[in-house]
Amino acid sequence: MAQYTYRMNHRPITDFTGITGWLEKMAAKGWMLDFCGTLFWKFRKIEPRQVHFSAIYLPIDCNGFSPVRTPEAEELEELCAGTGWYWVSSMYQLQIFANEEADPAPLDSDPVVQVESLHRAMMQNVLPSNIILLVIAGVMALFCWSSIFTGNFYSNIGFGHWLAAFNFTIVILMVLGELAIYYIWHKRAKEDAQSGFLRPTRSFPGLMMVFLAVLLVVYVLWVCALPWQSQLTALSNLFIFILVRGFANLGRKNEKMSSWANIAVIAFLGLWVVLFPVISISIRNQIEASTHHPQSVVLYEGREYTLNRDEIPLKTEDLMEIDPDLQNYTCEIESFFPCRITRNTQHHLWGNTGTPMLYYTIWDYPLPLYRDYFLDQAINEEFYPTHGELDPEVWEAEAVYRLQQNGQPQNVYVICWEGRIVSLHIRLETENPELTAEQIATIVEKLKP
Amino acid sequence: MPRQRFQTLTEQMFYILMALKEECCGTDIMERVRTITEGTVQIGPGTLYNLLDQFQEEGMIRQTRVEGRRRSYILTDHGLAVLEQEYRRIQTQAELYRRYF
Repeated sequence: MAQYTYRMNHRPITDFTGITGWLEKMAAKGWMLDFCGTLFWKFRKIEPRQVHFSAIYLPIDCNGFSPVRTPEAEELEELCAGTGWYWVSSMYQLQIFANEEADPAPLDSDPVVQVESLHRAMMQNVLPSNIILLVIAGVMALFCWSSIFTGNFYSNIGFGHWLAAFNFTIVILMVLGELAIYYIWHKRAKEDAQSGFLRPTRSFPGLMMVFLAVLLVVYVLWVCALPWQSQLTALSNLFIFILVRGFANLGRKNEKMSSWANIAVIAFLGLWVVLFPVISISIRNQIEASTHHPQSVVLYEGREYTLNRDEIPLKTEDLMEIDPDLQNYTCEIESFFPCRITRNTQHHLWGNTGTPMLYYTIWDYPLPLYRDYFLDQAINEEFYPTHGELDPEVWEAEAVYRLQQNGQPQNVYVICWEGRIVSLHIRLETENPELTAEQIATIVEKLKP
Repeated sequence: MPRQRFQTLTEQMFYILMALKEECCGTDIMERVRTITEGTVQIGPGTLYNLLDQFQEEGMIRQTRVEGRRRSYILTDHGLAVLEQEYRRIQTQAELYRRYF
């Protein structure tokens, strides 16, 4: 039989009624609170019995954040000593006490003081941290929603944007909900306290659990929709969070951490949680796997040229007559689990000098949910701000777009087949830049999955 | 109407300040309040702890000694003034009551 169990706490620290009620139920089931972690609270096995719990909020200047039992906290324990109340654990300013007597005298005897001390903890800690969270989440949500609504049609359906906007909006709703519930309670509790009545606090742990579950699912989907470098960054950020939190919990538990170190860790992790999706996007790992290309050396007009000889599915010589010996073929593959991105280039050994050139990216995706994300990437090119639709039947595709510059169609095509999107930059003959029906048929033959 | 901080005192605040007429530590305060009020008022340790902190912050009491986990306090002049103001308020209430009935 397990001696310890962990339960997630979905209640804000201001909900003393909810927290103490929950702890009493757990004790009645045979689980006594052992340690308050950030998300998971640790319980140890006991004989099921009635245990009374009470919560006290210490001000920050009384080392409310200190994991070490400070002189101030010891003074409180000294006061409790004769009353049967004993300290169990703490979380931020919330100090949890238990009493196993049948009908103990209350730990707090004056509702006015109790409401004031909770409000002080709220103003010193919960409110500022929630405001910071609200500002950051608000800015991020604004950024995401505005880019969705001000972008063109295709950026509107960028999967990652929708997920990020959705997640930040949920965070805002959660914070606003928590603050609103608290302020309604405080307004009524202040009045009730004058009559000697302590109004119980309220929270919605079930709803909070649903919100957290949705956040988690959306976050996982969002990570899956990122390129692999960003996936690595997101996962390493998560790992850093767990590592720092784990060490901090260890420090708290073993009382080897100062009050300010605890506050710094909490603040750092709070910001980290909100910012690490941003970090994952912005600090995209630019280190590309070094690819070894098969090469050959060509002597041309008295000079030696080293050319890549990668295999690419569509070559310029499939579409027109050229000397393949003087061509440079490069294929870069990016793993993007569960998708695959292939960037193919073919150009003359002199490079981009008006000679025929081929550059195309292939996005292969197993699930339709990636389609919009890749289409968004393919169609939103800096130099081609607009696009027109072509007849997809000719290309045996679901949809085909031709990108435009200054309203003029360019030789840049985005072709959508089932499970594959191709962005094709093609330059064949300068005099006649339009693709013939035969050339299109060849492209389809070579690139259609 | 919301109560201004210590402009009026609750019963618990009043008796704690009274108990600190002479220097004493937290556990003694609880005992002294029980004696003064003949057991009708009991101070919870959480309430006492928070109030001692707030009274100190407002300069109504001051810490005199620290002996291990025990800290002793005594009422300051400002604390005595607040206590007397509360006493006069209660007295006025009592007199008005007597006059009316």
